[in-house]
Amino acid sequence: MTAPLLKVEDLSKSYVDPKGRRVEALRGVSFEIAPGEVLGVVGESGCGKTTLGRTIMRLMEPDTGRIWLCGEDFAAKSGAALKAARREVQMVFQDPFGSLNPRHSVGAIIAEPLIVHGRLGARERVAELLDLVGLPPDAGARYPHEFSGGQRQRIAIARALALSPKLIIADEPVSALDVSIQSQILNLIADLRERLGLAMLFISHDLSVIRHVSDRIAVMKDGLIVEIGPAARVFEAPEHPYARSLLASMPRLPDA
Amino acid sequence: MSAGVARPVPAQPVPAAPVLSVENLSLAVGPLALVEDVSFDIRPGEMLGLVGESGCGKSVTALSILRLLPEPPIRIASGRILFGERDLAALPLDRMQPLRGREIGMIFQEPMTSLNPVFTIGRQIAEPLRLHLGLGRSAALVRAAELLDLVGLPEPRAALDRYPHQLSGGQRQRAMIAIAIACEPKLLIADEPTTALDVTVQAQVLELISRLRREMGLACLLITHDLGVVAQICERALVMYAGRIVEEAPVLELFRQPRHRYTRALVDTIPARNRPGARLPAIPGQVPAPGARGEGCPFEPRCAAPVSRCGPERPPLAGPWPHRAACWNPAA
Ligand SMILES: Nc1ncnc2c1ncn2[C@@H]1O[C@H](COP(=O)(O)OP(=O)(O)O)[C@@H](O)[C@H]1O
Ligand SMILES: Nc1ncnc2c1ncn2[C@@H]1O[C@H](COP(=O)(O)OP(=O)(O)O)[C@@H](O)[C@H]1O
Ligand SMILES: [Mg+2]
Ligand SMILES: [Mg+2]
Repeated sequence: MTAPLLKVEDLSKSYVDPKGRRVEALRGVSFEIAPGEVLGVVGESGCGKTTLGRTIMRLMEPDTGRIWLCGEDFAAKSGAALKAARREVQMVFQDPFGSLNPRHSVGAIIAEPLIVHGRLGARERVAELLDLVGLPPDAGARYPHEFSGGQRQRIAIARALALSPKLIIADEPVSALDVSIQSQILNLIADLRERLGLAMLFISHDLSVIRHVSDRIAVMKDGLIVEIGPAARVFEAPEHPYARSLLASMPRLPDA
Repeated sequence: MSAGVARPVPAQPVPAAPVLSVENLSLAVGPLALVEDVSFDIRPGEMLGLVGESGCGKSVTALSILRLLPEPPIRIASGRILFGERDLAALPLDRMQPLRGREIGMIFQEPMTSLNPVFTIGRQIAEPLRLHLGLGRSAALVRAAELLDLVGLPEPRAALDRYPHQLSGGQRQRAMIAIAIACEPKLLIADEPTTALDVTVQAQVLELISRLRREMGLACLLITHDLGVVAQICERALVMYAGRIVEEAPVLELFRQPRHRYTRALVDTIPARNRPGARLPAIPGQVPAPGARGEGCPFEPRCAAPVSRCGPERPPLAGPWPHRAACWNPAA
């Protein structure tokens, strides 16, 4: 077996809500992602999916636990070492509009990580990225509000890919999109995986989307992974009672 | 219909008169058409699905039936909305008020916008009972608790004293359903009633709506962008695209032999209908905005199999009821 790209050990994170009560959003989560692998994380709202993604990104610090990235202790890094390691993991959010600065041109938005990391040739790289995500070359000169939801998600993906990361954490990346646009983005994600060998932590509450994109699936409930395994096995023979009831509540479509 | 066509359907009962007949309804903002020439019937006890991607006109259609459109700017440009003897499209707004909540119940996607945050749940359910059915205060509260029990809210008596923000999303949606059915309306308009809910709660709410339909003979227009929800509980559905009904069919036929190329594409692109990981047969482009819908078929620019008349000529909704489609080159 290849060494894991990402290894998360016993991650915990709690919040204090406005009434001063402790909310345990993650209660000891462990898993691995191999290079090029997509791990789907599914579960109902409030189970801790977003907290998991953001903690791994180090957008917030875990209370306990360790995060290994490419064999190195990511959680312990700081300063220049953290900045360097950050290139390897990028994030895509549900609401592409909220995550794109409306006052910056699309070209500037995509180039930002390149500039922050002191890369040369940003202009050429932006053109390359626009092409990679299926946007027209002139998109770089335009502004986010000129684009539809699906296209804005392409912009967010282009920015995430700018530094050629090995891992993308995607938090509900297609949940706000209509069915026809959702398929376009799912196909784009599949293409990018194939071309770039990306690994992903793909978070969604949508079971059929998770089944479609994932190599392995983790089912979360109340801050815990209650079941994890190969996608087909988890879907066809879930072992944990919660995973079973979650899957049973999925609307069934008539056969073709 | 031509004289020689005999319908071989003696075994079917004569269908009951529709609860609601929408006839050639068009809605507009200034010169811009939002909804065009929409017609459909709902019969007693029937669950009719209305599906389509965002912006196609589902919500404005629902709101027009309730006369809850912001009028102006939106206006009913033409058509009739027959509810029993009355044409709701022509009713003065003050005569609409007594129908809402009494004869037509409504459920929306986000209960927080329709529940009043400053009143208790009990008061909000009791109010229509007192107003429309003339129940006294305590009788209305007893009935309100029964309704909360019926929709499966735990500890219904205690829930009467709660405020909307003290309930979970699923509980609020149940409370809204309790309000919607309190006066035993003939018709329920449910606009994306489960879209904001988790799947397990969605399954419970859909089951609740189906049960009420069976037990109370409620007719329901269920609006959703989710074909899975329609498959789950509707027997018939309308597919809307760019402000028009493009297909109307029994749900099984809609999945098995869709005629409109848009419906075909929509059904084919659903991840659950494809092999995991396979390339999805995607639909290129996006839904046109009102004003950019073109002369002919609004789906033509995205269609996989257009023919020459699709661009210039608008296809009519055609074919024998119950399966009709507006497509010049149908898929089946
Ligand atoms: N900033 C915060 N302050 C307090 N509680 C929070 C905060 N963010 C999330 N939570 C709580 O943590 C839990 C997990 O939330 P989240 O990670 O957003 O779950 P998911 O993405 O699966 O819906 C929930 O109970 C949520 O209410
Ligand atoms: N108050 C309004 N003024 C102008 N246009 C409106 C208004 N409300 C809705 N629309 C437009 O009408 C179209 C149909 O909207 P809607 O019925 O909400 O679609 P759906 O519910 O199918 O997503 C959209 O293009 C929307 O922008
Ligand atoms: Mg989340
Ligand atoms: Mg709507």
